[in-house]
Amino acid sequence: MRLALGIWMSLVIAGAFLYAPPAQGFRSPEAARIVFFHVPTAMVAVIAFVVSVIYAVKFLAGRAAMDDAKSATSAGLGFLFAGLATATGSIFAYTQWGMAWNWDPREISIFVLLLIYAAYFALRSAVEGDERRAALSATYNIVAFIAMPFLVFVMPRVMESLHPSETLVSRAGLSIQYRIVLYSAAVGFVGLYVWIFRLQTAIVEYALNRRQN
Amino acid sequence: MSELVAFMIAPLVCWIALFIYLWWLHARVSRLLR
Repeated sequence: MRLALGIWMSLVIAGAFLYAPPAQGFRSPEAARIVFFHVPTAMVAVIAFVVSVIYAVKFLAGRAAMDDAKSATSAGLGFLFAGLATATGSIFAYTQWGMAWNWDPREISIFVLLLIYAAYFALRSAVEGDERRAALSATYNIVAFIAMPFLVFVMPRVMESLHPSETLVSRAGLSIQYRIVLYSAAVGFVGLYVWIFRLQTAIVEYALNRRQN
Repeated sequence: MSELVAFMIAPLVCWIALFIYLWWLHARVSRLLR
């Protein structure tokens, strides 16, 4: 499985450069290839925040320390992938719009999202006592999660944005080559997320068991 | 074309490096948990 992911992602990278044609209609058609990494990282960030809130709710219901650890791990990965989406987006914005950052609605929304989750980690590091920290951060996580869909899915569509909004779902949006590479990249990034998530939770579980024994 | 190949090498090398690191970490964690 892991080996398959290694080969899969290598093929995705090769496909992004060699299989997909230069994107027509872009200022720098070759640089548009960065969307193969930009869009999936943003997707995975959303998935990670969803997983995080699921474990937060699970923790509040059952008070298992592992659920809190999983929630925090997934929030951390969501933050990482959101950061990657911001970085790749910023590079793309520089070539396409001429500015690395120009407060486009989606740039504002991811900036606010990063701030919200940065506050989550600040909260986690500020509270003493495992049980209390877990309960408080799980509650905060749920509040943060309520804001997330508005920031990610609603606000950029309501406000005028330079970002396209229906490209992925509309039939005319992307050529077949772009679709194949983009969705394959999304699958690869989800696989990468799952792998890191499981590794990190295994490490936390080991640490928790050691502390108890 | 050759320029594209040159650009492809950087992400490919990064990915392979990350992959090897995760593989190593996975092996270590599995050994710890055994």
